[in-house]
Amino acid sequence: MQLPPSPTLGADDDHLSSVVLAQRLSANRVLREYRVLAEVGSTNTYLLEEAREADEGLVILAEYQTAGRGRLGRTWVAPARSAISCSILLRPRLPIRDHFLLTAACALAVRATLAPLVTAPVRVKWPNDVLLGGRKVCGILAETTHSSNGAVFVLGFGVNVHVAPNADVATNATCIAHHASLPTTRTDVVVPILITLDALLVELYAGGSERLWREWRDGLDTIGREVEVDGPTGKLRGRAVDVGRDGGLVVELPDGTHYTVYAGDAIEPP
Amino acid sequence: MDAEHKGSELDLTGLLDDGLRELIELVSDSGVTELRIERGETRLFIKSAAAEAAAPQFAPQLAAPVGAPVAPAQPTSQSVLPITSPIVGSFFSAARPGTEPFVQVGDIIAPGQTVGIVEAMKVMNNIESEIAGRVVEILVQNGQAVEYGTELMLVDTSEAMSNE
Repeated sequence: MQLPPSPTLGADDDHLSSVVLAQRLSANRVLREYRVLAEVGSTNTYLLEEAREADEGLVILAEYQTAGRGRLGRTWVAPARSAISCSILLRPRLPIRDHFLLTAACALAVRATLAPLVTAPVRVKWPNDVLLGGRKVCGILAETTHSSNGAVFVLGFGVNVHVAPNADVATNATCIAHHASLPTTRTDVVVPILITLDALLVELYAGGSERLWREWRDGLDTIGREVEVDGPTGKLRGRAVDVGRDGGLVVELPDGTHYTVYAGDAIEPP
Repeated sequence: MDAEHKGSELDLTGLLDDGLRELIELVSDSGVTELRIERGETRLFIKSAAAEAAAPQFAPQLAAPVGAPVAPAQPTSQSVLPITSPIVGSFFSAARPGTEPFVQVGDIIAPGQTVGIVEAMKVMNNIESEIAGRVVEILVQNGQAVEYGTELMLVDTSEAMSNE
């Protein structure tokens, strides 16, 4: 069921405070430092270029992100204070093959946070989009570098809270306000996301990759659906049947063969 | 055999002053098939011909080059090193479609320079070179699926050394 946007709370009233965040997230063990920027081009770029030497666990939130980035340079734009624009600096002590679990953990944390706030179903689409009522409410994009000194992993995510992006910017998108029965602030959303994500990071770092992978796999709504994915020579259509331990989506093609895809989206044809 | 020296008894500074050729001869004469030396900002990695024979993936004949043709670099086999993918995924030569690639054949690259992206499950892995030299061959196409260890490009490290 889609509800009209809340009349009592809008983006104009909804400010984030690094002090409030630090207080409410004081028990976190990995995500330990919070900065709220009034305006930034991209929180991911900020971390990669200006705060790359910072300690693990630095969380950047933007009141207004003017040049949010998606996959392959796609833009992600939202009005000021209408969305959560967040990037986290991690230095994961994980094998590189398990780095995708960091984004999986983020998707699971977003899903767990949103589910009690909204009236429509929340699901995760491979590999890490979060859909609300069948429309995208959260996108996750990570950027990482590897060197002999280890990995710098920037985990970025955006959640539409008060406003859904215009259709010409992002088709098939929605926001929490369209499905929430009570007014919801960005703080109400981001705090439980970061608490849940912190717990999952602690588990991952303690050797919990296998359990987290199973939780992600078992909760993926893509399995069993018809999908269109990028193949070696163009688009392929088939049925998603599984995900591998390496995160790849296994697609059964019409001739019965299996093809595993690692990049791009799994588009669900109407 | 895999030997690694970090600030060993070798006078690396003196060797580099005398030229790389003497160092290569030293390695060849010693029978060492692999040598890694690091001192400060200076890094050197050398494989002998014996090692190359045992690891033919280092031979620079894997695929036609992508990008603008350049004069053959005629590199010595010991000095041509691959940059490999650290993960399974899709290789992208540029940050976004329609923009200039990170590197092209003929470019001189430095350690820490991004030479491509391998995407896996919406994790964009920036591939940073750990070596300096001239890109002599790009072995994968934009958008191509790659495996762990797939050689992405070949770099002639001797050219960077000669320019220093």
